[in-house]
Amino acid sequence: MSVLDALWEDRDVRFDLSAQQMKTRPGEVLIDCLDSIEDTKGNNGDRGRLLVTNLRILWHSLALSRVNVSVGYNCILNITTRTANSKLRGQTEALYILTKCNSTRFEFIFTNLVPGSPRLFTSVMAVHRAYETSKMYRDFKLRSALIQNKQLRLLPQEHVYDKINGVWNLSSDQGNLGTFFITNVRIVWHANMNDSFNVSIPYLQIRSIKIRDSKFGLALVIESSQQSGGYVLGFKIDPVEKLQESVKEINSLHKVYSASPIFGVDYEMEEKPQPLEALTVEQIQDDVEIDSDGHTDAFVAYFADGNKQQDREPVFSEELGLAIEKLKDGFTLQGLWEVMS
Amino acid sequence: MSLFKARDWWSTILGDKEEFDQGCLCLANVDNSGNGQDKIIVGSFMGYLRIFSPHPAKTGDGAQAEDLLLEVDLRDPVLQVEVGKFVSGTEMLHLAVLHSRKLCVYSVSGTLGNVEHGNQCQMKLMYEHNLQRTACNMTYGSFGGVKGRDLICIQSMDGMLMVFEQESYAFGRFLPGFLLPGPLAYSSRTDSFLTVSSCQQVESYKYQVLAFATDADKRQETEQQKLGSGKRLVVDWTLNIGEQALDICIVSFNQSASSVFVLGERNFFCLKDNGQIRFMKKLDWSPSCFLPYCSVSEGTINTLIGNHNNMLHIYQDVTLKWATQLPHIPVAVRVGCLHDLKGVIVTLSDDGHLQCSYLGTDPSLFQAPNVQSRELNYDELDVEMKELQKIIKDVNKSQGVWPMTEREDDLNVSVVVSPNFDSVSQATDVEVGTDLVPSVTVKVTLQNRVILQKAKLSVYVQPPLELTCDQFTFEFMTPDLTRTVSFSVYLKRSYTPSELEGNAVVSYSRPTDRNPDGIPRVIQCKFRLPLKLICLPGQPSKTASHKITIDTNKSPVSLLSLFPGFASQSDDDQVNVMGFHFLGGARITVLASKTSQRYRIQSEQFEDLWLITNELILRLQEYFEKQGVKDFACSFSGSIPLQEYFELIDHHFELRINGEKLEELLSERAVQFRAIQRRLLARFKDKTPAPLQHLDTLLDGTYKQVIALADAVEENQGNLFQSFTRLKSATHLVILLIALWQKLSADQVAILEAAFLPLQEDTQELGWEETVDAAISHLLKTCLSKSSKEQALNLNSQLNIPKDTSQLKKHITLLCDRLSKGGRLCLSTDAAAPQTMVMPGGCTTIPESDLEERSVEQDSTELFTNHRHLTAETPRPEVSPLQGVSE
Repeated sequence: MSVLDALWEDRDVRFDLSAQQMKTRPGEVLIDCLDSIEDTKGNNGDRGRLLVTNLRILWHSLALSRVNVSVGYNCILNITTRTANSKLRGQTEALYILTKCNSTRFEFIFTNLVPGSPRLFTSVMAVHRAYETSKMYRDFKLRSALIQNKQLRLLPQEHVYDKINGVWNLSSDQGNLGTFFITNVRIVWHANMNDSFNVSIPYLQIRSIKIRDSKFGLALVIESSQQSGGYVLGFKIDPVEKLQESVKEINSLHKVYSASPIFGVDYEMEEKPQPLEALTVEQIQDDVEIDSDGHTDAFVAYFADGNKQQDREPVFSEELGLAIEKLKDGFTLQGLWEVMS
Repeated sequence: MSLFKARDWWSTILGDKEEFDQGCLCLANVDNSGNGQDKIIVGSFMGYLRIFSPHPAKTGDGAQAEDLLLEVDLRDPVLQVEVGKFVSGTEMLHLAVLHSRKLCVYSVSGTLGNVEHGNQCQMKLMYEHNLQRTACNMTYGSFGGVKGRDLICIQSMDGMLMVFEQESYAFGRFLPGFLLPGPLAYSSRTDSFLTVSSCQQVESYKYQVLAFATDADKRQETEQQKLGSGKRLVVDWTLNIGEQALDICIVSFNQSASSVFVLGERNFFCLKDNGQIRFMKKLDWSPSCFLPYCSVSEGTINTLIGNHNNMLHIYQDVTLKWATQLPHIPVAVRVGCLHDLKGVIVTLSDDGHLQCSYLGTDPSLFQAPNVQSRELNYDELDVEMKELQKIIKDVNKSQGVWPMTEREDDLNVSVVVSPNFDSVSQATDVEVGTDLVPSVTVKVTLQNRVILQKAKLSVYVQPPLELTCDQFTFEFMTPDLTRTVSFSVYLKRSYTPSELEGNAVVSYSRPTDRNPDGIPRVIQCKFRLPLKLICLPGQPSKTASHKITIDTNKSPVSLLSLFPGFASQSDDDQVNVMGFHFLGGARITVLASKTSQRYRIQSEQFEDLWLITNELILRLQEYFEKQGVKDFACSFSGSIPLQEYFELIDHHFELRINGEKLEELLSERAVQFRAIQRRLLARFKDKTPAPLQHLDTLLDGTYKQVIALADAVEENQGNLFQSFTRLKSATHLVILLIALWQKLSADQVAILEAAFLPLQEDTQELGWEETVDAAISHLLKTCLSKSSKEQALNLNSQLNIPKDTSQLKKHITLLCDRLSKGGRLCLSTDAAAPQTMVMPGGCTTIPESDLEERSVEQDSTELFTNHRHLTAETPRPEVSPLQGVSE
């Protein structure tokens, strides 16, 4: 299994996590910790703590730490500040986070109970921005602008460990001759004839690295994670010794990366927060056995569009000349619009 | 706000910190692929060009790596991307990219691999034009009706339209009356260019006219771009729309007619080919982009208008057909056929959110039901409720801001007056006749019990006594700190202060749980300065004009033991006479009767008697207290020396009147001075100079008068101040004598003091006389009134300087008279209740003497620690006689 497929923190919205899930995973760092934050949408009137890591936002109630929410940055559609009605503060400026996770949209509203402090908005927005602008570290990329003057454009925390010439990409019948760049974050291949024909495979997205026999002979086969599309990429390096050597190198780098992933989300706070371990409240073990698969309905409170969980498929509407969500039986566009307006 | 939301079909976020605008988005089958699918082409101001071919496996899936066909860094900002038949000899679509100084045309081609990630896309530069002028935007079309190819027209920032016939430059023309570039569009039906100029009008220029026009400014043209010659460029038609335009669009969905759409900042216009308005629509929101995209029914055109409220409106002509909410503000909108889905809306925001969406048809009417899945802890809530109610009850009970039970000392203040003079006198700038003015060091010690903020010590002594420093600030960050400050006191001017008492006040904030800023509090501590600070031993004199005699009920005490520091004579037989010499010059003699129990104090000045008399009584009391005698009492028989007192009042009043006169004179002279100045100025400004007629002499004279008068006012003020100090001394003496004479209790003395010694400053507008008169009149009408009829008399509410002092004198005399007849001073409402006038043995003492419980011997250390009170308490005028001032 790739590092990524085990990584849910940044690409999932989860509710009522266990203490184990609240802990930071390797490579995840706590960036900011804000006390006195109210989860205005789901737990209005409840004082809680907001933790901002490089992968997600965690909120938990101070009174009841099992009441908590984890929002991965990858799910966030947009972040805005708007006026909300808080039980603890009344009308106040709040942080609105619209997310989408497995085709369900959730909306989160967080309110800072300390008046006049913009830190909630600034740190969440800035860290999310840092996450968004560092996708190169984590995303499988095809045909992007990676190469400049036959050289790899390095990411801020990236170092090139090896450059291998004469690597054939076996994605087409005749194969394409290109070059490998092996770094501490990813493997990049590009065609020597066409800079814009390239692939960037972060170790995060690698599911397996193998040597397999193909119609071109022994080849290096890299399988990417399910989430990135499950690509199977074949590369041929001659002679076989060099191929084995390269595979060994890539494998060991992949291991190193898996042990301590570099997510690339860089954000410097002026004041260092305490480590998450120090802030995590040890959960008191209830003497009653809790049925773990009895799912909670906590998420209901966070639906962005009423009780709707999924959109219907798009169809072309002759009436508007545009694609619309397929109407429910018995409804017409005109009828809907006239009711609304 | 619409209740419908745009549903995300496919979306991605482009680049990091890149910027995008109107021209950056284009939808076309740019790689001429066989299936005819549209591709999304996006250029950015950072110079990146991206081509996407979205094909989500499932609606709403995020962008996959293979959706990106191509990403290249072109290094120059991309202003606009267009796709058309830009290369000669082929009708294949090519990509035109407008940079600020360059126009590039590329061919985009794809090569398929075995698998999705094996597909490769390549961009080949077909030709490029370097531009002489900075470009703003461009339009393309079959200018002049050419078939099978598209020409490009670029508008430069300075108003030149440059036409490129594919690989070659055709001509450039300046638009007349140009200021700033507006949107540009080409109408193929009329073969003309349309723009909205800075005159806020839509202008149409025929291509033919442009081609044959002369350029006004040919000198700047380069060899290559100098082709045009002919007629002056004239506009085909104009239409004033009265606002700037964001975009212009020309569409013809059926062959018969084409319409010109103009998106203004507030309105949206549809014009006919000839510039006549077909319709206009006033927009409620500030629009950001628009696109007329199709004609659903014959004769109408549907338009998408995005606005800055994250909304996308769909109009059929002027009728709003639909509205949907977008997750961002669109700066560009396109409609296309992507992945076999027709009518996909593609929007781009300025920060790079690219979204393909379709219209959601579920209104978000319902707010999420707030599930109460979490059980409430009722016991806990009960406890909290009780706690809160208890706090509320406590607050209501104590009725104060904080409970008054907090009597522990937050801060201990003690003052120690050094028994000896400073070895080197600290006195500076003294105006006393004598050469050497002594000074004495006073040490204030503060000790806190809790953390206090902003502790500030202020010290006050009666003028003309002066302090070397009277303000100190402390921080008590931790409990149990001890801070000590010391300063010196000396006599500054050549008259006598009315009191030797000083006052140290500490104000601080005490933080509490509910009030982190702290509750302001004040502690006060009084101290007494030694007599020798202002007084020297002097030669006793037998004769004096003013004498008072104090009777006691105990045998006389040797003056030497009373005033040990002032014994000038060594022989014992003379101890019943003692002389004092104030630093200011006055001489006082105290005589103790050898036979009777009397003491006489005499002086040339009435008011100088006060300090010595007070000191004598205090020392006598202390002396007897030391001896263990409890029932010592002083008394004063005989009439109160009101005549002498009235003289001082008259003198003070005279100075006030004098001051008023002087100020009046000064203002008159000042008016005169200004009048002369005005005259002189008029003379000097006059073009025909007239003689000054001694106006200058007059000005000079008036100036001198003003200065002299100002000096006189100042001098008078000094005198007035001195006179007031004397008056205060005399007032203290009179109160003392009245108290001794009528054996008044401490409460009554306090009332008298409050009446005679008002706390406010003596000023010209509100002086001592009227204030005291009002207070005495009040006393006479209330507690000292003879009948209820008198009580009814109302007092004039306004205090003004009286004409003379006769009224005041009359009232003071009357007060003494009433008191002698058994009147009792009491301000409580039950004033009628009788109270014994004579206090049992020796309890009725002068309040100042109660301040000390210890000996005020010259050599002993004077230590005051118990005198503090909180100003937050309601001020009560009475002084409890035996406990000092601690309340």
